[in-house]
Amino acid sequence: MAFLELHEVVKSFGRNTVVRGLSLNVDKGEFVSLLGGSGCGKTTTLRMIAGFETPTDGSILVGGKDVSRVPPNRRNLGMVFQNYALFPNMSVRRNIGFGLRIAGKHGAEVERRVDEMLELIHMEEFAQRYPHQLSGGQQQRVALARAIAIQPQALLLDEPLSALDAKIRVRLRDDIRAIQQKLGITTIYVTHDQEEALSISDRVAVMREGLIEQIGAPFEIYNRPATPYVAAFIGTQNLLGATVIDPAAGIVSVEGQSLEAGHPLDAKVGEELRLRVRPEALSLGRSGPNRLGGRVASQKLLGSIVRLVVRVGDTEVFMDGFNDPLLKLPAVGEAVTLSFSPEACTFAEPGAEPIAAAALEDEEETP
Amino acid sequence: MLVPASSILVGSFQDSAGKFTFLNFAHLFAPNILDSYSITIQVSATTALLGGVLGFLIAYAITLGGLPKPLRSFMSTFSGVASNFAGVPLAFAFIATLGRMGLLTVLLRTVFGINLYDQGFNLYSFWGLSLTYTYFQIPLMVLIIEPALDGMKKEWREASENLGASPLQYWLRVGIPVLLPSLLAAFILLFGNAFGAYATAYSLTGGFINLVPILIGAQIRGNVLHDQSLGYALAFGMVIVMAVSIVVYTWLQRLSSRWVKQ
Repeated sequence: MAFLELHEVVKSFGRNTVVRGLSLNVDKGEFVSLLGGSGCGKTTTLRMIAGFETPTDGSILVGGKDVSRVPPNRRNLGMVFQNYALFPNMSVRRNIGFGLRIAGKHGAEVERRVDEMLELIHMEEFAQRYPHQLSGGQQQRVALARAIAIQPQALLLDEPLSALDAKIRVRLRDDIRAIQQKLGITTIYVTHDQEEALSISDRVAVMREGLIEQIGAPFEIYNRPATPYVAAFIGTQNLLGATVIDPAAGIVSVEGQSLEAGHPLDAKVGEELRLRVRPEALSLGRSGPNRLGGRVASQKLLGSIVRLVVRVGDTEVFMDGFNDPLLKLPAVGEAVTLSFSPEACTFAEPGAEPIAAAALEDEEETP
Repeated sequence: MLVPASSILVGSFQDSAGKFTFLNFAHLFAPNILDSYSITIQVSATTALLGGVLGFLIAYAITLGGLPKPLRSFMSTFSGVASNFAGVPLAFAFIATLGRMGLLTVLLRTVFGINLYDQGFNLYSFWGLSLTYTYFQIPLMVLIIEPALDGMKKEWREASENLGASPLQYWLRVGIPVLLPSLLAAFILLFGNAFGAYATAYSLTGGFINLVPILIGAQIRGNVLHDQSLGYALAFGMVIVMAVSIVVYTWLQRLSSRWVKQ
């Protein structure tokens, strides 16, 4: 039996239903991310687990006990907020010790536990500081320490890194995961940042309109998206209009160029499908069995990655490669051939998603 | 600001002929004058406390209490008006409502058979005056504490609940300590506001209650008993009371806000 269970949980605010019968099982010690755009119900779900919202229907079980109606101060769950929410009138030491003091622990015991926590977050020398004297990253470390000081049954994090700089975000992300693994604490992590979710989770639940669209290990989510929405939401996808030539052999035609799907297609000859292939699955040259010819429309530098935009007929295709300083990139306007393996292709019904829109929007973050 | 203050200082050391003297200050220690300082401080402190507590509760209700938004803007506007409603109109409004022949007094007597004045109530007494003062003290409190309450983050409360604290524990350990500097500042402001009030008290009690501002008024208005120099000394005494309360306030403020961003 799972340690944390959500059964058909529904949450409505007035006539607005935010969570629509969501079920989720999380094992003890597991790190699960709830990933989705704004308004998908991920934060509401977390707040119901914490007890700040009461489910309209369904039940929430922690350690086999139904806590749906238990007030938040008796759930023993540690929560970390996006805006840190440290008590401004207390030093770091007193913030971390707050929950222990409330629980009636003795002075020496509180101090010992606080010292442990300070060591865990590497902030021993900041114990006497007040929150306003700390950077955002430091404040969030303290908030994390405060949440786990009470040895909660589970740790709940609500977009804990969203207010931080990119560099600190990555470092703190790794620290959170390291601490979580060291303590073996069951964790639910809410984020809209897919890179964040994919990089630290045991499992990722992609949410949409109050339901889980797909839940699985990060590799599974990224490489085998179960629905068109997940495919479009996670990572970048090239979407190409494909006409079925030979369904049994899995041959299609894209912009007049014939490609192999690698498996038989459940479609009729002449049927229009949508072919999905990730930019990083493409490479320059004639190495793979599937080839698309086109002309370079532009180059974009995305840090460690270089993205070539290649015009194939009427469609723009993205190709991502590592930013190798020795790399000689084709010039804009130059004719190139892109190749990829049949395994890199997946297919969707036409109309399931707007052409290229998903690929273009991907880089933007939902606010 | 400095010129009137220094003219009070100079005037309080002069007799009516303009010669230097300490006599004015000696007069301050007459029993009736000490009494009037005492009653003024009592009225000010009582109404500051009463107005402070009630105003705080109203401000809490309209900011964090989850009341509908239009009610909040209505209360803010009303507070802005009411906090400036003092003097003769306010006194008259209270006389017309709670005086011996006031609307409410008569209504209670004829309809409900309750005679307020037989029950010990008297509008022209210490408590009557204090009640009248709270009419502008409460809305003033609402206006000055509203921004402070707006600054209270919802997440502080949630974090404290999440860590096992009851609402009472939250208020004792987080809410009140965070608000304390603002509460102290508000109290001093309300105190000063009542301390200097003249017209309301004068028109309500007609000098029946000897507040210091009324006493000063009597000295400078030029009736038979007037002594302008004593008026100066009385005013100087008020400056001292306010100065002392501001020093105490500053000290408390420093104690209560060590953690505030400097």
